[in-house]
Amino acid sequence: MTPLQLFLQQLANGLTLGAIYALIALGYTMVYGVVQLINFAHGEIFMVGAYAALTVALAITGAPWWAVLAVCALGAMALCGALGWATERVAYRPIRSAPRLNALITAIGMSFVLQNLVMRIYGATDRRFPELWPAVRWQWGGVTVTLTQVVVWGTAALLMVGLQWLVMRTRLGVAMRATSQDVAACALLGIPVNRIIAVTFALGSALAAVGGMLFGGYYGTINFHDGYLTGLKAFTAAVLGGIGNIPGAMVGGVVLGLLEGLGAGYLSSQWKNVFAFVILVCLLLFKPTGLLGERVADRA
Amino acid sequence: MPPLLEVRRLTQRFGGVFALDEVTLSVQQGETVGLIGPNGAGKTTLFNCVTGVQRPTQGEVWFGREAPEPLVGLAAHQIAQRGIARTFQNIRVFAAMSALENVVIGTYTRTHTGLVGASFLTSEARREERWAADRALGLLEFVGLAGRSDAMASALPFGLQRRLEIARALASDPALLLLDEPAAGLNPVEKQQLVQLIGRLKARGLTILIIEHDMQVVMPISDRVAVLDYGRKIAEGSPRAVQDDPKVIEAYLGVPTT
Repeated sequence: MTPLQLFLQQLANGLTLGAIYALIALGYTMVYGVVQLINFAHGEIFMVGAYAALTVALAITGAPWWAVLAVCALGAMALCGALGWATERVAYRPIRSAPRLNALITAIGMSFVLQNLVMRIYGATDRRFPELWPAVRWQWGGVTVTLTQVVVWGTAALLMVGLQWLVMRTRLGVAMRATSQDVAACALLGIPVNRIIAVTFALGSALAAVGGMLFGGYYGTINFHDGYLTGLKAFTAAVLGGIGNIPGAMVGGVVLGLLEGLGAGYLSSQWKNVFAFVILVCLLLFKPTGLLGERVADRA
Repeated sequence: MPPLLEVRRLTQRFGGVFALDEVTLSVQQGETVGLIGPNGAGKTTLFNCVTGVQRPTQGEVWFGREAPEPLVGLAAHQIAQRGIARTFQNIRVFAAMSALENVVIGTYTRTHTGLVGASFLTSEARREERWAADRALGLLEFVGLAGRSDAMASALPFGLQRRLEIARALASDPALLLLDEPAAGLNPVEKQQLVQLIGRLKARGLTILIIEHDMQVVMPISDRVAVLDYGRKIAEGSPRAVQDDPKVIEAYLGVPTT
């Protein structure tokens, strides 16, 4: 492999990871935007999404692969959307006016609940993930691109464009942005703020669910504690892009994935997980507002 | 004819301090009422109790001309949906959104398809989205912001942000508009323009309750003026009569006028 081939190969691998991180990071950043809460149970929602997709995939037989993929994605989105909505309703809304720390601890508790629930249902061992798409690969000048990677890129790009459209062009999006700037003023304009917040949780969770499905298809196995590490990395991606900033989460996810891919290729794949957290530490020390973030101090 | 807004013996206590002490006030349909008084007299507290930002310790607020209903206990967004809009003493426009988007947000209570769910994919929802944008453009023009619809709210000068906030409040087509010190921080020219703008709102038949320190703003536009001091209503009447009331002069100047 020539140096250029190696570089391009790691770029392709990193971009795939990055797309998955970005989908999860969006949920962290959207929720932080409207309620200033780091929802540490979000990684678990992602993991539940993977299990939901697995369950749906095993239930369907005899359909073309893209149809199965679509049904798996929609099923996982629906389940996780409902789950995100429900966690906000039962765990976060009752303590919304309590000190931040209470909500943070609740989020960690929620994450344990979800982990253990999935462990009870699916067992503690790795589960093999069904093949959602054929194992096709292409070679271009020594660089291998798999159908897996194309599916991950395509799905993530589609969802991100859709989200961006929703946030920038629809009245729901306008209301979400307004809520993230001034909750009280929104309420005084007649906007049911609680509903907007619940919808934001549901939307972020639905995106994470698709991330979970792609993650399962990419690695081939899933485990009930997969949400922890991947969730933390996606959180790093959200901080990297600037927490609360939606395009920032997309950029942060992709950048983190690329750094991880290139680091694994050039240094050592065993150090793969270290890169993300070195970045997190450096960011918190030197640029806590992230790449695209600027609002941290603009809140009263 | 019952009044549009009726505040009955409204009391708001913070510990031992009475921010409002049995204040009674009514506003008739089509009327512009000025609410004046020294700093800390309880004027903004009264607005907050009426709009559901805070819950009064005691007392009632009734709203509606045909079938008045009590407002105390309702959430802020429910009160807004019943037709009360307000602006803020310290401007609270959505800084990171365009002027147009700020006003579009205000139309929420006048739309039917709702924000949630897949409703934005239906043709009815798209039609409403266009309607909201058209209405917002019309209001921006009305307050003198024509041509600035794409500007970020934070990029507008202070005086225009004030107008933007008024346009946003008007977007819900309220029956009652509460203005909290709309002239604060404006220069004399802008104050004159504000008086003209409020005059045009009156001409449209809007009912207005306005808190204002600047007598040159509040006196020409108010049909009636109520004065608060230490949470109590100490005077009420025509602008002329209130200005000459010894109790009012004492509250403002702090000296008894024997």
